[in-house]
Amino acid sequence: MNNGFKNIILSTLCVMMSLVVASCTPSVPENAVDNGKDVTVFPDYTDVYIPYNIAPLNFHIYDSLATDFVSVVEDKSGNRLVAGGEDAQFDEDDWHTMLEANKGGDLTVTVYARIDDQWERFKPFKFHVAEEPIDEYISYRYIEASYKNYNELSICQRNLTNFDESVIISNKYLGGIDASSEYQCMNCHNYQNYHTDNFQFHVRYYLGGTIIVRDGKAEKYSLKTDSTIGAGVYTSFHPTEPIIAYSLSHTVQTFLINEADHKIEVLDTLSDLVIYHIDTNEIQIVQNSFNSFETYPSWSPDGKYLYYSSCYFELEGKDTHYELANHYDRIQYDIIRQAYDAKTRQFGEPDTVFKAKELGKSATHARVSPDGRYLLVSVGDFGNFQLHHLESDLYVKDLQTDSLHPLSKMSAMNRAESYHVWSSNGRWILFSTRREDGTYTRLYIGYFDKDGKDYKAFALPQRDPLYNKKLLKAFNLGEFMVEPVKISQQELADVIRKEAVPAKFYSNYEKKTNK
Amino acid sequence: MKQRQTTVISLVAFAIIAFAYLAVKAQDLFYVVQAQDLFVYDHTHFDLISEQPGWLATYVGSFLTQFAYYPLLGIALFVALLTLLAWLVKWAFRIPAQLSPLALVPSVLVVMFVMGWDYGIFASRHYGNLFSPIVGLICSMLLIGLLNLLKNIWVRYACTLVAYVLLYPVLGVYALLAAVISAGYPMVTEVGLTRRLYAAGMLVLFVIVTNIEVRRLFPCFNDHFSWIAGLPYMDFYKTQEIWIPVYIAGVFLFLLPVIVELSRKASPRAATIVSGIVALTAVILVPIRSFNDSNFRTLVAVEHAYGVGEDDKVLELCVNQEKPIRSVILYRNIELWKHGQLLDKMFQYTWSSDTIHSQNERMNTFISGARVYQQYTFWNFSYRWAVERMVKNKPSYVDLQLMAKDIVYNHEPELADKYLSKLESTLFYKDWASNQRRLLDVSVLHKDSLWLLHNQICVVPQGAIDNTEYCEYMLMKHFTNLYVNTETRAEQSLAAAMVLGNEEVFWQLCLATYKAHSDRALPRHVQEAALLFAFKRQNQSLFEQIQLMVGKDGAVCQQFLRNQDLFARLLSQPTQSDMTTLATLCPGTYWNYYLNESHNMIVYD
Repeated sequence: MNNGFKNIILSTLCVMMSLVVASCTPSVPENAVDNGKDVTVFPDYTDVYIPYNIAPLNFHIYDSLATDFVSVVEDKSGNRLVAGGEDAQFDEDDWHTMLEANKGGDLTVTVYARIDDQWERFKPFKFHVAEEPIDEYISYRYIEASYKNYNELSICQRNLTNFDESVIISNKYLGGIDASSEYQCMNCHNYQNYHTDNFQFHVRYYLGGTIIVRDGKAEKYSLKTDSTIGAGVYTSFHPTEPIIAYSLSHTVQTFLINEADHKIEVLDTLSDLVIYHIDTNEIQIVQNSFNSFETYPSWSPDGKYLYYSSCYFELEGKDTHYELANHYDRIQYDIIRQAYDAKTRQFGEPDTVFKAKELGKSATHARVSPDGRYLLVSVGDFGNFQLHHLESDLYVKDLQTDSLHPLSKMSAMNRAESYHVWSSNGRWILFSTRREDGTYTRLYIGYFDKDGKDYKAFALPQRDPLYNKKLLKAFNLGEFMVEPVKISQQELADVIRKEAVPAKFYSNYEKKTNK
Repeated sequence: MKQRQTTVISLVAFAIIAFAYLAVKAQDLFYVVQAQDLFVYDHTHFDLISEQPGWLATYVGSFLTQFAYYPLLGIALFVALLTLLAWLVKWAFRIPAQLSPLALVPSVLVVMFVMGWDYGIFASRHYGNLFSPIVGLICSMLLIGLLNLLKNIWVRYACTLVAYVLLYPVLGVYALLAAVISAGYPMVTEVGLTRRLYAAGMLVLFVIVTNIEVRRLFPCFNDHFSWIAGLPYMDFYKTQEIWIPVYIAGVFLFLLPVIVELSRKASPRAATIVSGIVALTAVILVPIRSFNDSNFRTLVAVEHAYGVGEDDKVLELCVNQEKPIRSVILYRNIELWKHGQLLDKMFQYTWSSDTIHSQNERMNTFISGARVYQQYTFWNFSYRWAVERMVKNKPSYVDLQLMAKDIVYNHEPELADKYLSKLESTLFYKDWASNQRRLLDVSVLHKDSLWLLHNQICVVPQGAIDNTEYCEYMLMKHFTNLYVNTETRAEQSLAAAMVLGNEEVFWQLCLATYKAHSDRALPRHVQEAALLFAFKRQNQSLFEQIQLMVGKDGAVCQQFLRNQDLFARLLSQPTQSDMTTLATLCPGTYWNYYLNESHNMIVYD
């Protein structure tokens, strides 16, 4: 049912419940004894750094012996938030009041458990409230943690200050019940400079095309031309110009027989890089050499550089899939950047900014911080699809000092950290991780301070703290936004059902290619 | 009083006959449809179901479907609700005694619908398929009956509209059915054009209400399907005839008020005879319209047997299938292997497989891949296909079981916990899940027979890859790669080498098996293959050695020698006549498979 409608029902129920249980608000146990133990909560919110405008960090408490719980969040002035039961769910208004009053300070969280009619107190933990806010909105895709098949999926947006979530576009709205109207795959939504008047996403399959929203109006384009290997895949909207960078690729999957933590390897058998000029409807090639694989383009915040991942692999050219599949663990990517002049449409020479291969690693998803100083990447042992590489972690390179270090507090060891983005103020990093169960990708947010230090990340808060445990879908492609998407699903659907406008090939750049 | 007795007797008779019929014909089907469903008390599951109009019928239907875990209980419940439906039809339409048999028609059509299901049950995106139509129809009849109690036409219209506004979101097409019948009823019972125009105006209002409600309340629902929302749907897109009973039921219920009105002018006797004939025709059509494909029946029986842990029944089911589909052949070989009879009996039964009798594309790997891979302890590949099916359809008990088991044996405790927790919150799978949870303890897991088997059969170099797309082909290819040579694996590898006609691998393993079997005779099919391959090499000395190896006086060797000329011709210039002769003289042998059937050995689906 409609989320708004659900929220009305839920809010009404909450008000009614509040009235009914007002007199039953749990009180803080007075004669509790310290048990000296750390409390186990899910999600693991212990000692995390959080923005002052984030939704309540509700958590579930695990203790098989306890029959009741009380959780208390207390600030230095003695103000308290109290929640009862194994699911600690805090009042949204009270939560925000407390966080607002404690910017830059700490909140102490104490959990009490009743065991055999005796209240015990666990060792308290902290919520560290940062002074910097987080962008109010994020968007992401809901998709099954699948291999080849897909079914219903949607691109949703979420207000981070509360639990409101709404659908930007769902394939269920477009597709249907029988195979004559199968569901489309939709992916790679990307916004221009955190604002939603200009954004894009792809639709695959029988209504396929790239939907580009400009100044709030949508249009559908076919980015495949006779001179390119396919339609756009991974995307980066230029921060100021009407230009979008795309990787183009042919992708295959290969399956590992016996590795529990590495069941699948996704390979590009071809991949190139292009930019699309929206105004002139032209595709311009950036890189398309046969033995190099370029992917994951990303503009620097000033728009002067295009960063991407690139791997050189000597191919014999007989059976590319076979060759690559049999050497998948030797496919390693470096991070390259090329200067770009928007006036002349010219790119500079490729410059390797992170030689991951020399370290025996593979680096992908280059993202430069809004202040232009830090390059954030996902580093795994090989390959480019780090979502399936549990060993991948987040690393940051200081572009001023050239120093490189892992975000070891933010990343969990060997839990596939990738698809990261910076908040518009550069203090928060939204990334996907499989740290909870190794398979279902979840969104986490970590604090990155002005000195370049990282801190323990927290899971995207949910009203039901066990939501991630119950959900059989994954989140991916998280993006920050400073405002919600305003164009309606109906408008987007109408455009998706239209014929795509075919893009033209910008041919004077062809001479630079060697294919 | 007599009328009431007659009604009760006819309903009881219907219930008994329906129960007996379904108990004989549909226990496996009920179990499998149940296994493809899922009912758990958590909001993520509710959210999934409540994304479309008619969710209440689906939700209740899904709740009731779980009882078909015990098929007879499910059937009893099903029949009880069908009986209630029949009684409600009679009450709602005020069917007179002489037309009583007509009240049974919707219930019979529901049975006809269910018995007509084909392989589409393995590709259903909808929950509560078994019970949601009955739940929906019961609600419809209840609503029609209550609205019929209202005498004032305007009150009736107003209440119908209010009921529709409130109930369309939860009952979907069933609310629409009730509202249209209720609003249309005066078109039959009332006279005058104006009254009829008012009724038509109501129908327009329903269209408007539906469009508004779908757009406002179900933003992700494709409004093209507003008029069928809540009906069960499966992947029957090329077999629309499966829906015929549903269409007939809809038309029948629309016409029922007219029939009731007309019957008032007919003689009671004639009305009774005609209505009796209509009901009887519906009953007779049930077995005729059922999907009687024997492979389908075998497949659901096999799925049922595996589902309840009665693996012992599978072999008998499979070998009794005359022209099996590939899935049944795969299950047959698995069970022969488990019974230690693989190399003695695997070619006794036909290898030529039938295609899946469905007009819709069906892949054996999609239907059975996860279970087959799991039986061979290929946890990753089994998991992949369970996930693929879950994604294409919806989360279900059977796929959660398969995934949970794969992940438990892969020792991924956090992920296993996710699936096991789901199953532990169900009514009938919690014990199974708790049992699996014990295996999360590594010390218990490492003593488990399946885990030990995995270490014998699924040993590959680190990082080995393969394509899981075609289950049978992948397995054969895997087993003929001689990474290791445990006895269990050698058995599979020999079988695969014979299936693929890979003589090189066969000879390597045959000699090893001969040494291992020095105290007993080689398995029958190994003897047959050894003689044939040796003879094929046209090396007399080798051929004589092999005769000694398999036992020159043995039945296999003697049979080969008797037909030596025939084999020579078949290996050089085979003719149809010689192939027929071979099939007659040596049925159920590896020779017949290799020379006659091997072109059918693997089907890439």
